[in-house]
Amino acid sequence: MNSYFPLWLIAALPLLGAILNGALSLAGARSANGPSKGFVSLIAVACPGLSFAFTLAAASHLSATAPMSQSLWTWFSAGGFHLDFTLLFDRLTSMMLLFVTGIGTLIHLYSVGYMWNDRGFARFMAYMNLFMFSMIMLVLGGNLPVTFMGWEGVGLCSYLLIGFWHHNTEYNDAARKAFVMNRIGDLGFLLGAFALVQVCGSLDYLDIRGWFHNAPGGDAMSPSTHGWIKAAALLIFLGCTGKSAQIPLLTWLPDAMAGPTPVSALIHAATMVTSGVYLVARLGDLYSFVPEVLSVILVIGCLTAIFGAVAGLFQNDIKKALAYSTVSQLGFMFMACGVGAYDVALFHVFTHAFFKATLFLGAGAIIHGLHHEQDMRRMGGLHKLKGMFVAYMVLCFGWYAILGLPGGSGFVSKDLILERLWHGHAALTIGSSHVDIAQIVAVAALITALITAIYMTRVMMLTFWSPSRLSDEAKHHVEGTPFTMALPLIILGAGSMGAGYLWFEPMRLDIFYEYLKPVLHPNEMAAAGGLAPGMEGATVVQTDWLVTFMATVGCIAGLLIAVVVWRKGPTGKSAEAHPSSDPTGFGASWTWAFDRIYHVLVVLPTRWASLILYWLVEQALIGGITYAIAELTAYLGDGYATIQRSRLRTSLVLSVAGAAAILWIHPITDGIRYASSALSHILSLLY
Amino acid sequence: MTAIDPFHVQLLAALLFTLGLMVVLARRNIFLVLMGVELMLNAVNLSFVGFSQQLPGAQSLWGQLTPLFTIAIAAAEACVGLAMVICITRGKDTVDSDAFADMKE
Amino acid sequence: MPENIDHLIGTVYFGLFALAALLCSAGLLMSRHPLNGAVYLIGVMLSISGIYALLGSPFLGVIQILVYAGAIMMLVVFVIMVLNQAQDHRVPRFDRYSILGALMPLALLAAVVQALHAQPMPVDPHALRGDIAAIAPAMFDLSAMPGHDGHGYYLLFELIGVLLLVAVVAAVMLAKRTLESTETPGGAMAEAHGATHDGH
Repeated sequence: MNSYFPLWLIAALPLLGAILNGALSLAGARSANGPSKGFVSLIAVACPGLSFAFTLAAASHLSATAPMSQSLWTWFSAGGFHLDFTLLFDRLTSMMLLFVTGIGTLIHLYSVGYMWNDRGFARFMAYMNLFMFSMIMLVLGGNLPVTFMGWEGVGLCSYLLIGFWHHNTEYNDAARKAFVMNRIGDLGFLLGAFALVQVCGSLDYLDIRGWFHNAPGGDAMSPSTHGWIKAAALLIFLGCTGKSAQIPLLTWLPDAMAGPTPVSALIHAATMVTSGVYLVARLGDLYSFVPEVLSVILVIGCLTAIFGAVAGLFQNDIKKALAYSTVSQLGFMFMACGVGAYDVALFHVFTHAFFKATLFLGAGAIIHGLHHEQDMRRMGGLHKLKGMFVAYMVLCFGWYAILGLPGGSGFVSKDLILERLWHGHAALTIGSSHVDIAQIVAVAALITALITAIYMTRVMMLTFWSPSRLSDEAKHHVEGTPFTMALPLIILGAGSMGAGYLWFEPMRLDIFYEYLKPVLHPNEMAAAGGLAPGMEGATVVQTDWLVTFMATVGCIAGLLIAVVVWRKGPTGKSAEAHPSSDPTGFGASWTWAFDRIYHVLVVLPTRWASLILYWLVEQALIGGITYAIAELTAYLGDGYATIQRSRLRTSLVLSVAGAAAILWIHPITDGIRYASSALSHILSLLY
Repeated sequence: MTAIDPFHVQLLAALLFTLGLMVVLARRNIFLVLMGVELMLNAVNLSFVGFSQQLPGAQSLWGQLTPLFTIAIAAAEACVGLAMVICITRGKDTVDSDAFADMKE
Repeated sequence: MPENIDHLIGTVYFGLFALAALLCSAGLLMSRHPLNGAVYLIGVMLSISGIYALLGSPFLGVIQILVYAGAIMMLVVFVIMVLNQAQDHRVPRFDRYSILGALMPLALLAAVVQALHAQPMPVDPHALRGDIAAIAPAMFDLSAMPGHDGHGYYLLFELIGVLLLVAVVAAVMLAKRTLESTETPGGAMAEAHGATHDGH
């Protein structure tokens, strides 16, 4: 059953596409129109498409219990530590890969239409394919270093694609911000990996799993080992916060909206930002072992969700609103991880990928149609315009799904999270007392869901269901949605409605749950046991209708609030009074709270330290010494040059003097030695 | 064979060498500088011959053969040196060695 | 004791020659005209050739007289006389830089004498007398000499011959160009001019 399937093919194809498109882009860089766009798009779409097909084929080869682990070659070997370039393909991997390559292919197809008129079409496609390769390596990696390679690769591609329109300084700054903040997280990842290798002696996921299964529990483990494990878990989670835009490393994601919209959809909504959740689930053995860290994850996820949802309320830029929504939804996923419900977290990753991609791509269709207008204060009534029908329809689907109204996919996954939170346990130790905060977090999540409904409905109200604020000229120049953009939109829109039915308890549908159960269930039970002793194996399966009811009521309430508030268009300053789409007033303070915190805590001290170092060390110390040496040398040189220049005989005399000095060294040192020995002799005679 | 104290021979050679060097360094007339060099060569030859007496048998001839070649090379040196003296004194119309210290630029 | 007398006579002769060499050297240093200097230098060389003979190298002494005192110094004197401005009256005998130039060699001398003094220098009784009978085979005989690897000095000898030839050619080239480019009238000058042309 578990026959051999060449897994490297899945990763190699997008890499091939990236190389080919990169070469084409370079080759066509000097021509007037660039390389043939048809050919470029064929390569760009076919490579991830074939990867998707290979993933399907590999998944069909996969047995439930035995994962495919393939060692391609020895990466490095040092002392007792040995590392192979390993690919691991189990059910978790296959689930992630299926939606990464599937949605990725659709977004590539969409990009063909969206970027068709851009001069850097081939370059864009090369970056996108390179991103697919890196993302596949991230998911497919069989040990932490291979995953880290992909992890760095997606960070790099994210940087390249955010700054794709590199003529704009603001965009470049956004790209750099994303890169630098990700680097902080990556450092955490690396240190965590070092800590882990200290404990387990291997970085292979299967070895790590084996080690934790055989690990001595409770007091049998030495405190230092436990400390290392806790450090590893926290540090790797720091890496996850960087990649998945959680507190404290979240501010790069809204700025990342500077990139082209397909990038925002693919990288900053559907795939890359969810890799943090994937990594926590992948290292579930580790995290289930340290419930304290799980509680940290829970709290951070909760705070991020609330922060993102509230920040989403203030955004005028449609993409930024969606970006904060992504931050918020990622917070939901980490909340689920925080109570050990990895499968639910991944299910939300899965459904979120669909509806957030739909939302972003629909927003992209609007932006495309309105010639790069992103400010919602200049929209309104768009569904009445010709050519906006597809965008309108799919945005409605996405909106319906993210709100969590019955029937959509968000309804299912968000309810599952709320249920697990409500019935879960999370031990938070404050001082000496243990508090179970899961219920508090559940309530907070419910409120967040309500805010989600408000800001998402606000987006819809401002974009569609309010009086049009477009100029007549703009109305006549609306561009339609081309077929290559419409097709992925429709598929994803349908997915955002239907994806939830892969795990819908009331209808006895639990394909998703059953599929991931062999991989994740042991960890979940361990986590449940760790979080609340005596509760091993008690994970919720039955639907809690109360939670569902409350969530639905919350959604509808939020919807109604938003309809009432924004039925006449945007509140606050109009686009004419305040041309920048940035929020003002309290909205601005809230949105940029973390930027300000960084400014005070990191930027200013760094700047002061740099200044002090510059003046004290660089200028005074190093500069002083070097200048002193240089000046002294120049001075001596000048002085000596006058001797040298004066007359030939003087030089000759000096060279004779040098020869004499050399001849005299020996007698003189001899004399000194003789004198000192004589002196000591005299002294010894005296005493 | 007369046994002259080798130290005296070497002392004489060193003195002659020193005097030659003094001529080279102290005098500015370019002919005298050349002759000072010749004197230094002679002093070294004398030193060779003086030292050759300290070696036994046929080896003692080595120190006496070397001055032969030195003399031959000194002849070549004097030949070219004098030609150069003619060359440069004609250009500057002086025999002052300091007048030819033009290498600085 | 004849040996003692020999020794005494040798030492006296050595002293005389050494004194002559030193006095002539000092004369070279102090001479006003280069021609005087040349004569003093010839005196030094003759003295040294006498010392060579005393030291048991009569062949070298003869060569010294023939080549040095005869050929080289003749050439020097000839050139000095060709250039009738060989004594430049604008140039002083000594200037203030000469003080250093005279003192520095003394420092060198002191170091050398100190080193020589510290070193015992025994005379080997088996040292050969460097007359023509001993020098000729040492230089040209390829058959093994006792205590000698018997290579001879053929190659070096030939190379020095070539070097001398090259030096002569170079000297002719240098002097010819200079003499052609100047228009100084003078009998010696015209003769030298004609001679170089005849040479070609």
